[in-house]
Amino acid sequence: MAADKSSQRVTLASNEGTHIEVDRVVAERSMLIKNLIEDLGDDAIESQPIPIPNVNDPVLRKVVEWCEHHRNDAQTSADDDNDNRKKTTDIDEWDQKFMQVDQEMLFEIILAANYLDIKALLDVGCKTVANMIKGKSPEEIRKTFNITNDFTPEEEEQIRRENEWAEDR
Amino acid sequence: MTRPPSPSQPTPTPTSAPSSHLLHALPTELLLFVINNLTRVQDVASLARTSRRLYSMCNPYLYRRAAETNDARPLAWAANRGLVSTLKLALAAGLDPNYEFVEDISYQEWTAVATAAREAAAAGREKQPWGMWEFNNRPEPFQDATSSKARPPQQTSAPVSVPPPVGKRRFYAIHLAARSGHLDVLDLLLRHNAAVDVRSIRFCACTPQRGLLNHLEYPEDDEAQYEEEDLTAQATPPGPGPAPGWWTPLHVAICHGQTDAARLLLGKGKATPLLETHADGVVATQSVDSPRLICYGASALHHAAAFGLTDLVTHLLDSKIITDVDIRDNHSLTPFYHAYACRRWDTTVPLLLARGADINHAATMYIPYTAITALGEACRLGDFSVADRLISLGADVRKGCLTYTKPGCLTPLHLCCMRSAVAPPNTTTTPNLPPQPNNPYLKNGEADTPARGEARMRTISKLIAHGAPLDARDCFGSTPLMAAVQARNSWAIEALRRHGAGPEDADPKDMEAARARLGEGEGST
Repeated sequence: MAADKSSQRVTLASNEGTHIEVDRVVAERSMLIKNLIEDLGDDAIESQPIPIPNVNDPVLRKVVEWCEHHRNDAQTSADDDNDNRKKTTDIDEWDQKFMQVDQEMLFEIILAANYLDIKALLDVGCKTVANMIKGKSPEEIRKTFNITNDFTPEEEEQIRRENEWAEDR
Repeated sequence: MTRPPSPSQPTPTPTSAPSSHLLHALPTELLLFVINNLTRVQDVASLARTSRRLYSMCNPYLYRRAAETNDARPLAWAANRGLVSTLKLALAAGLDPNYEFVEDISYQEWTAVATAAREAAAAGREKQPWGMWEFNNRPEPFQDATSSKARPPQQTSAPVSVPPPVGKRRFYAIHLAARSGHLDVLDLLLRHNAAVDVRSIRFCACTPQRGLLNHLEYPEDDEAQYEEEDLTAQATPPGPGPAPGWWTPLHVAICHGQTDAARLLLGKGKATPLLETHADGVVATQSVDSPRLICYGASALHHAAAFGLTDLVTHLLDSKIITDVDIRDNHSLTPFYHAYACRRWDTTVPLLLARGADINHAATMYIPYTAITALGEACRLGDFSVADRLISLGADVRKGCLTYTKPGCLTPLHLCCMRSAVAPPNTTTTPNLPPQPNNPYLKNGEADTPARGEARMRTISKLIAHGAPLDARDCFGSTPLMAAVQARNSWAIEALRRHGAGPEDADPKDMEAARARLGEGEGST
């Protein structure tokens, strides 16, 4: 007989083979894991770790940290997903501090949130990147994100003229 | 110039191999999440300029977002700058080519620009550009009195400045394209069913031409005309300042000297059944909802004449878009009148006369049952150099102000002898006149300046030399000399006397008065 869901623990296995044990409700912030548990059954997850092959140990630990903090948050529905796209870059204070990581980690968290289907974390990650873009010139954005300019000067000028309206007050 | 890559083009690989932790290397759906979280279009536009891949994702989003939020700036920008690629993107994203732009404009600014434009036209000067909707070069938007920016400094004892009253400026993208003569943009807009007969308000500084004298002596009629239009136009009240016109793109093209744009609009107008009323080149249209004429009933020929566009006048007449060179607008003014009123002496005035225009057409005046010729009006206004030109061009020196109810008319000579409708600057010296020791009329500054007095005398001489009769009688039976005496116009009296006007041309009492005006002794003749 499986234990009570609220007290149940599950083990997550990173792609490096390390194991991280977390409360089931924390793990189930990930829709991927939640669906996996439902498919495999409670008994299966008690006996073996859940493989997370696309996420390495440090990133997985960061994701788990986020899920722990947000364990009691309401799960977002499909409709909420659309609402989450509403035009705001407000990020709560804890999440802002959580996202104060190097760019490599930031994008790994975004990729992991996408893979694990954690909509709220994905949203926080994307908003963080959007805030890093906000108010910057194209050159500053390139520098910030190490983007190679593959336009010819003529193309770049034409695009500048084409979209100049967006700079209008 | 090389076209920027379209979203469907394969994305080139950046020179450095991307690693998974680069923004650039995020999967498309995640990049779109990031883009979707950019709250300001400036940021989306900046990101689009960083690389081909980001351009391919950001640009469609940028325009789609504009369309979804009803942000029509791309349309205005494209039409104003002639950016076909921007316009294509905007239209492809679903922006409405018939979006109406509405901006605030203070009545103070409107009054200033409209008055300046009218004065420039009457003086034959080119119209100055106004409100060109340039990036970062527009008038500061009016701040609401309650907004923090508009508040005066926090000094309770200081008088609170009252913000100027604000009216609306309305226009469409097609007005912007027509104004600047961006033919590709204009053509694209028309192909996307942009309405060709839409009206702007306070977009250009032009105000309707009702006749120089009518406007001067009866300006209230401008307001009345506007209010009449307003009933069907559902527009904002005219507010203070000159009543604005409801100008179509065709007018805007013409008044900005864009002949080719005007031709394009006329061509499209002919091709579109809804605009069949344009087929004769008439700027005024009849809308489906309101069968009455709007835009003051002036044709493209009137406007082309007013702005000195000889090519367009020739095109309108040669292609028989307008067959009557003396077509009258709904103020009974002919194209020649518009050309004369805007002093187009070197362009459309000679052209229209060469094409058979009637220089002696009498336009309806604000006074019922009266009409006035261009020469008569120039004389009445005191524009003597204009009158001289008209005489030289062959204007009939016998036709001035006509009445339909009584025989006789005020000849140009009569009108020269009356006080001018436009007062001259004050002056106290009259060096070229005979001595006038007891002449309070001149001393208190109500007479001509010496320069205008002399001009008046020259015009009177010219009129007489061209056959103006000294003994012509107006409908009250007065001769020019009697008119001069009644108006206490010493310059005119002197000019008439020099040309032999005498007792037989006036009542004895008037002659007494005339002698007194000229300071002659009782026994003089």
